[in-house]
Amino acid sequence: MLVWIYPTKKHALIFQRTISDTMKRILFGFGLLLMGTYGAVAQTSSCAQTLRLARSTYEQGRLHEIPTLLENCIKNGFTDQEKADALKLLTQTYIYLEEPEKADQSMLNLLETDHYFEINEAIDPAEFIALYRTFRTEPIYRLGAKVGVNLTAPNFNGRINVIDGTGSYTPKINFQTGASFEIPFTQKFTINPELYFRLNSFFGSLSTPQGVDQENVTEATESMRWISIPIRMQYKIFEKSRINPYISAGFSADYLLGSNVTIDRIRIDASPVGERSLELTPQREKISLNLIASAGVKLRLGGGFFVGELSAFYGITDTNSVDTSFNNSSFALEYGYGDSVFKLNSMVITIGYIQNIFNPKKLAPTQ
Amino acid sequence: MRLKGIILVLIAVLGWSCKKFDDAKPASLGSFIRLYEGVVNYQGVMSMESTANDGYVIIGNIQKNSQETDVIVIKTDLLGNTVWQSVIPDGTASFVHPLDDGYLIVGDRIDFNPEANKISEIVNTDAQLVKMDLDGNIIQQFNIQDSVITSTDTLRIDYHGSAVTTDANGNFLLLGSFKNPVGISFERSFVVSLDASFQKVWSQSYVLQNRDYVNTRSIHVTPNNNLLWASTAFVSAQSLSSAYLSVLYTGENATFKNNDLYGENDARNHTVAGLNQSGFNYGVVGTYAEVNGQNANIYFLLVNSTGSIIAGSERYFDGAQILLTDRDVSESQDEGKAITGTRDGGFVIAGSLTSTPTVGNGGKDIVLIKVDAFGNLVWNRLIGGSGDEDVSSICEVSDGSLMISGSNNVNGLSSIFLIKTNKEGEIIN
Repeated sequence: MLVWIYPTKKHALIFQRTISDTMKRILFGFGLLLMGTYGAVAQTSSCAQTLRLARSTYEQGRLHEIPTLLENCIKNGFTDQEKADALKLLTQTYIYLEEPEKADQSMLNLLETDHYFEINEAIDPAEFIALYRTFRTEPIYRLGAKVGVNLTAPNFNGRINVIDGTGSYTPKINFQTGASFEIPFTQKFTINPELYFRLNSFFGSLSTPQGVDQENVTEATESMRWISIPIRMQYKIFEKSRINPYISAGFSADYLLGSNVTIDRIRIDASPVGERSLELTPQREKISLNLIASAGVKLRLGGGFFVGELSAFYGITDTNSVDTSFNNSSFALEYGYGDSVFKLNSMVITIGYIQNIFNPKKLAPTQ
Repeated sequence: MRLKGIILVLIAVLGWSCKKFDDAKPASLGSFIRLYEGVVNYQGVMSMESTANDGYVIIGNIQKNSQETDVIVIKTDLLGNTVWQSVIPDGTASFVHPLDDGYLIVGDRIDFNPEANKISEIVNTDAQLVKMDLDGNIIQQFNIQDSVITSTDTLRIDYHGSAVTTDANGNFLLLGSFKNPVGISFERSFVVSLDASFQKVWSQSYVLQNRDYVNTRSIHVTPNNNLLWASTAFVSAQSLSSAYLSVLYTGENATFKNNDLYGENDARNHTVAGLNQSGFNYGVVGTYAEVNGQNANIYFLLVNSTGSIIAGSERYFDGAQILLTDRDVSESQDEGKAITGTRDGGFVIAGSLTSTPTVGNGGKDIVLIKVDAFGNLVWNRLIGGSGDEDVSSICEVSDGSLMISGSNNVNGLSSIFLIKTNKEGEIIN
């Protein structure tokens, strides 16, 4: 017994009683918990037995007893797999009891319980298979997220030299992230629109020879930020495959958020011009269109797919124009850099996850 | 396997489709900026369109060291790409005149003699006229060289070449100046007439009392076959100077028929940089500044075909305020450097503006001012980066565009610039 110092004996007595009541409540709650768990375990064990009993009853032909037998456990008590098995059994029961509406509802419940339920043509009754085929069992769409890296290089179609020399451009690795949406509309074809935030950058170098083994060099890195909306049509190469390979083709419409360049010029026997960052957004087209070709794989994972994809983006519209090539004369006068006209090409690797979204329903009868 | 093949094809197609920079076709440009540089300072002097309209010729000076220069001549295509370049050693350039069969380059030939006994003999200059063929090979050369013999020495007279033109007979008229090293002497102007083989036909010199003649880089044959050019009548004392405009109008192989002056009684200086024809008149451009060179503005006025300044045609411009009502107001330090006539009878003035906190892009910038045939302002433009863009010439080319050249100094190293704008003075395509 705890010894407390209280103002009066009455207070000590009250506290003693309070401790005792609390202990009783705790013990009572624990007891209830144990009983509930035991009850759940007991019920689960009971529903498993019920399912076995239902199968046995079905085998004996006492079909009228099946719905009543399974009703409570279907509401609460079955595991997901047991529920699916029970609903399958119930569906078959309704088929043979010639109650088509209940059979439809039961099939619908089965497909909502197990989106990935598949018939076994070797074992399942023909009527059950026929009923299954009157339902939409494929996902209506898929939704997911992807991240990736891209390698981007300019594709020049209008060279502008400010200083005589040779230029070279090197792609740089950058990243992108976004949401992916798939709408299957046949077994083989899926429409795949996406929305990305994308960073592109590339490095350019212009060398102007100044005698033997000497040259002045202008170096620039342009970085661009885009909102990209690719839309592709996927084609599943194999129907049954562990990795579900596919190819796709389409186009993307990209919106430029901003572009800037970091530039410097190093000169032989003279001070460098000095590195600067210049805003290029006013000299860039806001909208860019690209053709896309892709290949990828989808690995089943949980309720969706892990996706890995390689894409080639081919720019079909110019990123800039000669109209604005000399809008920023600092570019040319200080760094000898001409804003040549180019499109952007990219190689993109993305990985991600897309979740299947199902909405099973009875299909309209075909004429 | 199939998937691997597809991936390889994707990579190959993308790699093939990226056109390299040097392999790409040149953009079709109506306006551009071009630079020509080396490891030492390159100074742009003048640019002109070739008579075949297949490109441009640029002359400049290469500063080999603090004392010595070479002349560089650059021929370009219509986009400013170098076709060829030639060097005329030991000289400076002041003027280029395209011909059907080549180019005439006017300037100085320089003899540098660091061991000379007399200061006046360390650097000696001859006026030089060089003819190049269309490929940049020197095919003819003419130098004006002379000496004066004193009781103790033989001293070289320094001659300078300013400009050249062609008269009605096909002879070349070379404008220059010279100064006698003996006694109190002032810079005189001269004109020499040469035939096609550079043989002298006649020569005349022109002297101004107690002042130097500093010629503009142009000489014109008027419709009545007289000669017209402009000079600054100049005298300096310590850091102060006195200068006014002198318009010289003479007959061939004759003295003055007219010598109109402007600003001779002003407290401030009028130095002249260019004179060029548009329509029936000639436009003059120069710098109006205090005697110490401060508060400098650009001025413009008209001269008729008999060498008379047209009263009331004078205009004053400030790079910040542009057209001035009070010519003494100056918000920025500006210089009138060159002028060209345009096909509409007007003129475009090219000047330098020294940037201030409120106007300019840093350092010196190029200011372009278009005026109509009466000198009224039509438009103005400012072109430049953070370096010093020092304009030296402007001309209108055959498609109506403007061609501007000069020197572009960025962090201590200068290059030659060639800027082609549209007829509105804008670098847009």
